[in-house]
Amino acid sequence: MNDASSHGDKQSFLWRYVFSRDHKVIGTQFLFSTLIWFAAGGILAIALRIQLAWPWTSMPYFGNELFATEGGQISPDFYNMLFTMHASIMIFFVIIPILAGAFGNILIPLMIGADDMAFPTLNMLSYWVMWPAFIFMGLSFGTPTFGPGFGWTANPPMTEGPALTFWLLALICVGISSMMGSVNYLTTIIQMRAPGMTMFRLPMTIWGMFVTAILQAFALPVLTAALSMQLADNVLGTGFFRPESAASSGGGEPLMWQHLFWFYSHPAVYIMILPAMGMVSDIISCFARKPLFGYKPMIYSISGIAGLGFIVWGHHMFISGMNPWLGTTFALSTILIALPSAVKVFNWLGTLWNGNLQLTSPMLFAISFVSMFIIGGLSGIPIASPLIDIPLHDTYFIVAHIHYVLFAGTVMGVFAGIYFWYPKLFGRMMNETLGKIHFLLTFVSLNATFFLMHVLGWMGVPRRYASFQSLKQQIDEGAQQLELAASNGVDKIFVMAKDYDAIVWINEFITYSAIALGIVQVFFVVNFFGSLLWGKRAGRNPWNANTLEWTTPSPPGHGNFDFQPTVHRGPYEYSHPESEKDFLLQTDPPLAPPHPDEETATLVDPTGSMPAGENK
Amino acid sequence: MSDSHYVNRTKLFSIVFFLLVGLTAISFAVAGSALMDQPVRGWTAMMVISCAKALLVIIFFMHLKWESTWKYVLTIPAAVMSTLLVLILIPDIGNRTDDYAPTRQKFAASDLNSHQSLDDTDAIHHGPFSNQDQPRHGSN
Amino acid sequence: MPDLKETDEPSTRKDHFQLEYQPGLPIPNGKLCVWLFLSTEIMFFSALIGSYIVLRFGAPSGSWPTPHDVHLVEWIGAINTFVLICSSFTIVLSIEAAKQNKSGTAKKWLFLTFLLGAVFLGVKAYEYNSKFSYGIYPRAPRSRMYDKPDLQYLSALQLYCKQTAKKMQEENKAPEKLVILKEVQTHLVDWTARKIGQTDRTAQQSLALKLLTYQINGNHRYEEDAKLFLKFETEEIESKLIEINQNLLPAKSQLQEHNVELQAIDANLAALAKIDMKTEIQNKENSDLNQRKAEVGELKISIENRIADLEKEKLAIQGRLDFFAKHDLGTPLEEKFHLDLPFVLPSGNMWANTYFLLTGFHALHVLIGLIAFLIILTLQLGTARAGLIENIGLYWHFVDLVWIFLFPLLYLF
Repeated sequence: MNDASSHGDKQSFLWRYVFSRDHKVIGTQFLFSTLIWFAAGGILAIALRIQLAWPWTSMPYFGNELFATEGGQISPDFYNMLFTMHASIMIFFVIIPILAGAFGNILIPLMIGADDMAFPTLNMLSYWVMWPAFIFMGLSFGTPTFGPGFGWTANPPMTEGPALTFWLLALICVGISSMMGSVNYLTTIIQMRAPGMTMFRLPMTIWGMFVTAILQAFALPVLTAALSMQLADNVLGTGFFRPESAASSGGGEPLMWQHLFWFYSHPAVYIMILPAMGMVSDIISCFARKPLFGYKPMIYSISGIAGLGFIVWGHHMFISGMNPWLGTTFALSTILIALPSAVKVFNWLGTLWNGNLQLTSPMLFAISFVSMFIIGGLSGIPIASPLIDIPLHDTYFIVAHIHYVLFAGTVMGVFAGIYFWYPKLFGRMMNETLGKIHFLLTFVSLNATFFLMHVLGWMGVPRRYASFQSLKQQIDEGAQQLELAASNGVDKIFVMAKDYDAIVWINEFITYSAIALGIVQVFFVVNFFGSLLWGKRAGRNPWNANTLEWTTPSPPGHGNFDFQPTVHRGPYEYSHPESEKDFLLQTDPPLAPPHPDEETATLVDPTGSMPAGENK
Repeated sequence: MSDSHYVNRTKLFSIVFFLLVGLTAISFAVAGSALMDQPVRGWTAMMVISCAKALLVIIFFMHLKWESTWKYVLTIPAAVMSTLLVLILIPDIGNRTDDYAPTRQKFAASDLNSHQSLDDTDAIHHGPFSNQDQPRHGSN
Repeated sequence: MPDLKETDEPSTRKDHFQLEYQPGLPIPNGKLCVWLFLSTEIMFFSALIGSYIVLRFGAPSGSWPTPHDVHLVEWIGAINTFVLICSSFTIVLSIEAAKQNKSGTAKKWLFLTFLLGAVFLGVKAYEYNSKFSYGIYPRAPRSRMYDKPDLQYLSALQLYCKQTAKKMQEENKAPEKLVILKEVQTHLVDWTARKIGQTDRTAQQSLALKLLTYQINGNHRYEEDAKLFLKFETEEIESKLIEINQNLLPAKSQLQEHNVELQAIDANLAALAKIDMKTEIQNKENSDLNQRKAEVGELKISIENRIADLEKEKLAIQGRLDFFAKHDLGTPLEEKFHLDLPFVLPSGNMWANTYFLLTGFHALHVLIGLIAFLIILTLQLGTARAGLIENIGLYWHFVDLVWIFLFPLLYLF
C-alpha cells in the first residue's frame, strides 16, 4: 500500500498503520472501517425487510439466536432497534466518514498539490476518535433492549435507558472527529495549494469537500450541544427536553431538541451528498472527454445549496406542532433549494451531451448518480410543502426519498469514486467486467427495492411500523365507505389504500429485491480484494484524467509528488480546442498563442528591442 | 504575521483593559439601578454593554484590528449564524407559554400567578391534585 | 516538466524537498486553524446560551427564580469577570514580551494568566459548593428543590422528616435540632397533611400547602397567600379551641357522673357479694347491677375516647398556635435552623439545569486552557514561540468572551 517514512527504513506494522500520520493511510483506515460498517448496516436492513415481508415469523439468525423461546419471532422492540441502528450506522458510521474521512483525506492533498494535510497529527487523532464511537455503538447492542429503539431522530421524551447513553456518546465522538477533520481540511485547502492553483482552478471534488467542511464546522457543534443536553437528561436527571411531569424537574421543551437536532441534521444531508456531487462532476467530465459544463455556476450552486441548507431544517418538523408561520417560511426556502440542484443536474447533462462517452464502471455509476438524484430530488419537491408533507410524513414516501438520494445517489457516487481512484490508491486496476456486472445488478435491484416505496407511501403506509397487519381493518373499512359513497352517488370520497393485498405483495417484492441488492455486492467485494492481489498494475494516469493526483505515482509515496507541481490551467481541459492532444494536465504549461502565420510565429516583444521586421 | 516588525502596543492594551473593567462596573451598576424596573430596557442595556466589551476583546486583544479582509469572511457568518440560531428558537420555545391552553397551565412545572382567594373559584388552576381536572366536589 | 515515467514500484521522493504552496491567507496555518475552531465553539456556545435564553423567557411569567432565591451572589460573579479580564490582559502582555524575545517576562505573564484562571476556577468551586449546601443540584436525586407546592412536595417532606428524625435520633449529635425537626414535623407537615385529608375544598388545600411552603422557605411569591390563610386558619382554630373547651366541661362532668355511678354500683355489688345465700330478689338485683355496670362501663369508655380525642385535638391546635407564635411567619425556618428541608422554588430545577450546564461547560473550557498554559510554560518563549502563545491566547480570549456574555445572562437578569 503506502510506503514507509522518508528515512526509507522498514517500519513496524504498528508505526506504519496504526500510528501513521500519512493522509493516505488514514483515509484508507476510514475506507475499510466504513465499508465494514456498511455491511453491518446492510444486514440490519435485511433483517428489517424480512420482518416486514413475513411479519412475526421466525427470523433467520436474529430470531433463532435471540428469541429462541418465542419460536424465533422477534419482538416489536427489537424491530425498533433494527431501524434505529440501521439509520444511525449508515448515516454516522458509513456515509459521513466515507465521504469526508476516506475520500476527503485521500484526495484533498493529492488534488491540490500538497504533500499531506496541514495538521497530520490532528488527522490521525480524528480517526482514532472514531474508535470510541464504534465501541460505544457496539456496547449499545448489549443493552437489555438490544440497542436504542427510538429512531435515529431520538426525539425526547421517548428516549431513555442505557442504550440512549451509549448512542449519545457514540455520536458525540463522531462529532468531535468530524469537527477536527473539517478544520484540518479547510486549512489545507486554503493554505496548501500548489503555485498556480487558484481557488477557481480547483476540481469540483475539492469544492465539494471545501463546502462540506464549512457545513460541518458550523452545524455539528449545535448537534453536540443538543446531544450533551440529552445526555444530561438521561444520566443526571435534568429536564431540558422533558416537559412538566411528576417524574422530571419539568419546564423542558421536547420541541427544542427537534430544532437543535434538525439544525444540524439538515446540513448533514448536504454533507452526505455534496462531496459525491463533486466527485461525480470530475468523473463525468473525464469520461465524456469534455470540460465540465458551467464550472463557475457549479461552484455557485454548490455554495447556494450549502447556504440555503442552513435555513430549511423545519421541513423535517412540519407535524411537530411548530408555529405554522415558521412552516411557511421553511417551505419557501426548501423549494428554493431545488434551483441550484437543478442547475447542477443540467450542467451534468450538458457535460454528457455530445461527449465522447467512455462507459467504464466509474462512468456508469456516475451517470446513474445523476439520474437517480433526479428521481430523489423530484420526490423531495412535493414534500417541501406542509400541505403534502403532513399526510406523507413518516410514510414510505419519505423512506423512498431518503434512499433514492442516499443510496441511489450518494452510494452510487461513492462506488464511482472507489472505481475511479482505486488505481491511484492501490496501484492496481479493478476488473472492468466485474465492475460492469456489479453496476448493472446494483442498479436494477436498487430501483426494484426503492421505487415501489413511493407507491406504498402514497397509499399511506406508515414508516417505523413492525408490521402492517393492523392496517388491514382500516383499509377494509375504507373500502366499505367507498362502496357506500359510490352507491349514494358521491364520487369525491378519497381513500388512499384500497387493497391490503397490494401492500403485502409490494413488501415481499421489496424484500426480495433488497436481499438481491445485498447479495450482488459480492461482485464488488471480490473485485476489490481480488484486484488488490491480482489486479493489473496501474500507471500514473490510467484514465487519462487531467487533475493533479494523476501526476503522482500509483500509489503515491510519502510526500505524494516527486516533482514540484506548478498549475497552469483549470481542472477540465479535455479536448482543448487549441491542442491536438486528447487532454491537458493541470500542470501542462500554457500553449503558445495561436498565430495565423505559422512560419513567422514569434513571441511579441513589447520593448521593441528586437530588430524590426521580425515582429508581426 | 501581519506586521513585519514589532510595534509596542502595551499602552493601547492597558487602555482597553481599563475600559473593560469600567464597562463591567457599569453593567453591575445597571443591574442594581432603576433601569431594571423596566426589565426589557435593563436587559437591552446590559446586552449592549456586553457587546461593547466583546468587541473590545475581539478587535484589540484578539488582534483583529490589524488583520486583513479575511476577518470579515470568518466573523460575520459566525455572528449571523449564532444570532439566527437563538432567534429561531424563540417562536416555539421562548413564546410557548403565550399559547398555553388553560388546561396545560395547570400542568405547568411552576405555578403561574399565585394569588388566590379562599373560595374555590380558582381551584382549577391551583388545586394540589395536579392530575385532576375538576375541583373535588364541584363546590363553586 | 520532468518526464513522468510509468513506474512499477511506488517511489519515494528521493531528495526530500519541500513543496511550495500559495497560501490563500497571509496568516500561519496554526492561526487559521484556531480561528476556524473558534467558529465551531461560537456555534456550540450559541446553541447552549440560546437554549438557556428561550427556556428562561419561556418559563411561566414571573416564575423564574431571582438570584436571591438561589443564593447566587452577583458580586462574586463580578469578581470572576474581573479576574478573567485581567487574565486576558496578562496573556496579551505575555505575547508582547515574547515578540520582543523576552522569554522570562513572557513566562512571568503567562504564569500570572494561569494563576488568574486557577482563581476563576477556585471561585467557581466555591460557588458550586455553596449551591450544593443549599440543596441546589442539577436535579435528581440530590436536588432538594421542588417546583410547585403540591402533594408530591408534601410527601417528599414527610419522607424526609421521618428519615432524618430517625437518623438524628440514632446519631444523637444535635439534640436541639432534633427537637425543632420534630416540631416542624408535627405542627407543620403532619398538620397540613391531616388538613388536606379533612377538607374537600381544593382552595383551602392549596393554600395550606402554600403556608407550609412559605414558612419553610420564605419565597415571597407565597407570602400574601400564606398570610391570608394563616389569618383565616388561626381564627378558625381559635374558635375551634373555645368550642372544644366548652365541650370538654360537660363531657368531663358526665365522666365524673359515670365514675360516681360506677363506684356506687361497685359498692352495692361488693355488699351483695358478701351474702352467701342470695334470695331471688337479691340475685336479680345482682344481675341488674352487673348489667348496669357494663352499660355504664361502655358509656364511660366512649366518653373517655371522646375526651381523649378532644384533648388530642386541643393539644394539636395548641401546638399549632404555639408554633406560629414562636416562629413568626417573616423568618423562614430554613434560614433560622438549617434543617436542609426540601423546599419549593418555581422553575428552580430548570434554573439549576441551565446554570450548571452553561457554567460547567465554560469551566471545562477554562480547565483545558489552563492545561495548555502548563504545557507551553515548559518551553522557551522567545520570538519563535510568539505565534504559539498567540494561538493559545486566541482560545483564551474566546473563553473570556463567553464569560462576558454568561455573567449578565446568568447573574444579572
